[in-house]
Amino acid sequence: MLILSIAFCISALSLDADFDPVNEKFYPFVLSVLLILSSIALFIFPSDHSTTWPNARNLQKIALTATAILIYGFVLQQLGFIISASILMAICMWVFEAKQKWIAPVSIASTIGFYVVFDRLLGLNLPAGLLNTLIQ
Amino acid sequence: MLLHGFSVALSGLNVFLVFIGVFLGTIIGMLPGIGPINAIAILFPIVLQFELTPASALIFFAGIFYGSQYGNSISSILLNVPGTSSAAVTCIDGNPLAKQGRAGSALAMSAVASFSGGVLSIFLLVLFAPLLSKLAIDFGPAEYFVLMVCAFTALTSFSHGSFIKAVFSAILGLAIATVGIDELSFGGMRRFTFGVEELGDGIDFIVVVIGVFAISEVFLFLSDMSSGAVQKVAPLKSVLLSLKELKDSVAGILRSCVTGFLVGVLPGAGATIASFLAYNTEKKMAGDKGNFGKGDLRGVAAPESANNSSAVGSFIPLLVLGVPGSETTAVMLAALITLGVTPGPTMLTDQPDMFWGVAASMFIGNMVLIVLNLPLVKLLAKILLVPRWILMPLIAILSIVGVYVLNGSEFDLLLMLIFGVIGFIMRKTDFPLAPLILGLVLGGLIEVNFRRALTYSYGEFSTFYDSPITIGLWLITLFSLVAPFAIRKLKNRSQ
Repeated sequence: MLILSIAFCISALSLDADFDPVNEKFYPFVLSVLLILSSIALFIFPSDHSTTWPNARNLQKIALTATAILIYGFVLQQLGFIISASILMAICMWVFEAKQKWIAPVSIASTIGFYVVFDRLLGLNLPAGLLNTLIQ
Repeated sequence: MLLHGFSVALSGLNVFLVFIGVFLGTIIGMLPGIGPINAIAILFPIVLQFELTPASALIFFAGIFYGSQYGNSISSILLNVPGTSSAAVTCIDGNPLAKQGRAGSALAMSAVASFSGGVLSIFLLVLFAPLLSKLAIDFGPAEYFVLMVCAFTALTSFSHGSFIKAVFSAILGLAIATVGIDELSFGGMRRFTFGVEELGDGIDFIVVVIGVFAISEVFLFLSDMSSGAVQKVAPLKSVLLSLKELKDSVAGILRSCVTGFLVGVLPGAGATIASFLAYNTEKKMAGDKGNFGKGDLRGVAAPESANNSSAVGSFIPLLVLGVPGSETTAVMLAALITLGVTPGPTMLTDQPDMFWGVAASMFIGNMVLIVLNLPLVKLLAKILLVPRWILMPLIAILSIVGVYVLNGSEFDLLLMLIFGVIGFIMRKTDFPLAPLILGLVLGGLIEVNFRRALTYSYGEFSTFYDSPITIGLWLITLFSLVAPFAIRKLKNRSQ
């Protein structure tokens, strides 16, 4: 955390501007100093909160979900919303220990539901992708 | 003025929005994992799409907010699981009542108390807000800057947990807000974009809010998950209250409403503290005669009245001073800014439609809620049966849809994920999120007012402490810094 704040401070100082309170450099600099101070304060006065980190199994699940969302972002344009979101939904349901027989129907139905509501009824564009010719 | 408000609130669109808002709010309040903040953030792109006026948007969001306070109590009573922390107190007496087979009476009491608390506090809002706004006319950039500093100190020192962590969280929020093109500098200076083209427009607050609240909620659920846990919904018979039960609770409802309202107005305190305070007061007043903790209807009435009136009270700093005091109102302010409202102490005089319209719509919303909650509560309670394995994936999908449709950018999805991880770590290590959100939302305003004030005063820092208003605000800031420590000291001594 301290390292992060110092990095922020250095990048604030490296901004290409005059060091004048009215300019765009001074204010981030003040923030970075405050960040550094509060990180140091946390080292000196650690809070008595004890963190329970998730066990290995649950940590894997979190990592899997996060990766799935990441991949979703990359394939969204090519595959289109319905296909990529169905896969994501299926992965999430599996991670949350849904019954096997429910995963496929629920994930496909809910994604199509979202598509109809957001894209068709509300006019917010979601990429059609592979199914382009089919649903346009 | 209020009549004018009703003319705004009673227009077809706004009645529809109130109805949808409180209905959605009730459901959102019942379900774990999706609070009013997430709902507002996810629904915001839709509000933009339909080009709602700021007044209509706020009427809608407010409906979601106080509607969720009603819904909260349903899951507290029937499941012993509060939808959000503010309903935790309702569990104490609500769930024992449900176990005794009196879930219906508890729900009826909570609906009546929520309604009375809500309506009475709207009267307080209409009464006090215009008085306060008279004080706020002489505000310049310097005064507004100091006011925001004051809001921050109050929020960080009243928020539970470590003070230093709250400060760190607030400054982190302010720092995130500096990313992007600087509006004030000549030619638009890019800051902290690290050469990434997409960061030029800054980081959208919706992306951060959904990441930090919704995505991290999914992660949190996963991290505490153990297989095989099944939840039981208490059976629900008739939803009825006897006249005597009502009469016993009236005084408590009134007291709790005032407490809730005052606590709601304070930045940082909010519904959770309000309901705890109200519950403890009633418990002490009942003394040995009460059945508190084992299923006393008054123990349901007090926190429900208090958390609804604190929701209304929290609109005062937002609408009168343009400074939000809680994360939910902060998100509302950010939404209003995007819709073109200039926030600040003149909001009430500049946008009378908004204030009076929202106040009047709250009356309508509370009417709708009592109708929803008394006869239809049996139907609504069915929603609690939705299993986790369907609910959490749906929240994940809703989040990514909400973030994507905002700008149609995949980069925002990546940012959302990063903030999801940050939010998860912060919640695990007990860093409060409210200061982060407030920092993010007010960051731009604070910097603009700070630099504008310095420009007007030719770089003289004395502009921040040479008017009576700024001096007064600094005194309040100092007080809010010292007060929590002093209260703790006094408590320790009396024990």
